[in-house]
Amino acid sequence: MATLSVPHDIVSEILRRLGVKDLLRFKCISKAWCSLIDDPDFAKLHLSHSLKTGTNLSLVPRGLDGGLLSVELDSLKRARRLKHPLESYGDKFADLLGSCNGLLALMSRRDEISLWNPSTRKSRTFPAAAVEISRGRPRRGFVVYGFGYDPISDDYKLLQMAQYYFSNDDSIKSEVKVYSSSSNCWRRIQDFNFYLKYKLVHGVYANNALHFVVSRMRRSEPLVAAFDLGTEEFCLLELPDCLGTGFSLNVRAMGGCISLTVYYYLGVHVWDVHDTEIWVMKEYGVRESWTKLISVKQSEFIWGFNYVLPLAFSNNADKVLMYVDKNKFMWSGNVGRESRNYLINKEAEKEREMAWKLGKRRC
Amino acid sequence: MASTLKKIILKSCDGKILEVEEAVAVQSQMIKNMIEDDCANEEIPLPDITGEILSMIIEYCKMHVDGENNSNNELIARDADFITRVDLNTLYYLIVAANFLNVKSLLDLTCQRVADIIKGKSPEEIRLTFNIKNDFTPEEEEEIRKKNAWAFDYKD
Repeated sequence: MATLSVPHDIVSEILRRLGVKDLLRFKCISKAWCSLIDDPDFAKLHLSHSLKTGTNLSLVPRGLDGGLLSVELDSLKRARRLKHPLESYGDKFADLLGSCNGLLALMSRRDEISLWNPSTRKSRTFPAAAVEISRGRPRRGFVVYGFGYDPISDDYKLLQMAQYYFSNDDSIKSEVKVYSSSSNCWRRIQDFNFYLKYKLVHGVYANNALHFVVSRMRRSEPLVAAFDLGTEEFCLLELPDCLGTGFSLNVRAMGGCISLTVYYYLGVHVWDVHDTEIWVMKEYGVRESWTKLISVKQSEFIWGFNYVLPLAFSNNADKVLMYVDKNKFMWSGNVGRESRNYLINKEAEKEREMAWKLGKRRC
Repeated sequence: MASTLKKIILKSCDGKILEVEEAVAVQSQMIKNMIEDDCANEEIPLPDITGEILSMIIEYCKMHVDGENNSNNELIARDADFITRVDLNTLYYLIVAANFLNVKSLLDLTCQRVADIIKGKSPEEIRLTFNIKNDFTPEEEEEIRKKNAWAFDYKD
């Protein structure tokens, strides 16, 4: 390549295939490389290439001290400690409010929120919005969040939903606020008329919307509500029409699609072991496109488990990474096939092989 | 029947004439457009592409047309075999030609190969490899390095 200069758009083609750390280092190569790497349009091309090819994906689990770890999704071999911007005086705790396009939304115990890019180590910190209805002496209540990107306004938004009980009956008041990163301020929007099922689970971002498991009455069947980040309105998402009865729901994002985990109660109590089904909505908003990925049947497991949550597809989408019993990560193979099970234990590079089977159940 | 056997005639900058089956030639979006516009009936001169590079590109396109029925993994293995035989200098001419002829999959493959080669390298190594002149003053360079000091930790 000695005597020829490489055209600008070809350098851009090559550089968008590199990791962020390489790019930051290559900024000092020359003025042309530096201005290309700093160009916001290049950052967008780099992001869309990473999204398209599924590269640079990491899991961010919480360590035993409450701090955050990062594990490359492809290998799952090594947990790296992330030093996040809300760490202070030995308090490493951060609640992960959501993630989108490589950005994380974090919250400290002191109600500070940070939007953080762990790849570039840049962040912006601001206070959580005041909850006005909490001044009316509520009996109890909670606040959940959701974080996502609206491509129409080219804006990252953080949703804060407060839900409070004021009397002995089941009536609630809600208060919803949206933080926009382009205006750097909070504003209140229309109230939310459903019951949030989980007080510790934040909204799930997929298809330009944030998703929450809700119900119409406090103890009625679970539904999925979607908050459109563009219109800033809520609507209900249609669920598969062949779900059985007696189940609870979790909503996740899998490979950019919205996914449901359905837990059927086998016993009388909610905490009894479950049979679990994992569904994916292949075409957003189209009820017929719900597809059952796998079902994990309790009796066919080699040993029992309490709880399964799907986390992500493998890079070539033939396996699902699952979080089992709140301490293990497992790859599910294709239905009925044996697969390997990975354990990430503290920061140790431990890998244990076990064979396990996934059962199949007809819809 | 006649159309499937139709040959496209390509002429490299060093005067080499290559006859290519239409199915192979249309892997190039540029040639495909020319055929659709009925501009490919005579030989097509390619002013910046040597015969050697053109033959390699045709070999690549032929491999993809012949391998249409093969599994994805087989194609990936063939691509890898094709690209690892290419030295950096040739890689440069392949990228320029793939870009000009608009052969998307070859452009992906060649750019990814360069990215794999430069991954994890130091700025000095990159300047040497690509013969890039450092146009920063030492102070400017030091400033940029300082801001991104952690990116120079090569351990992970």
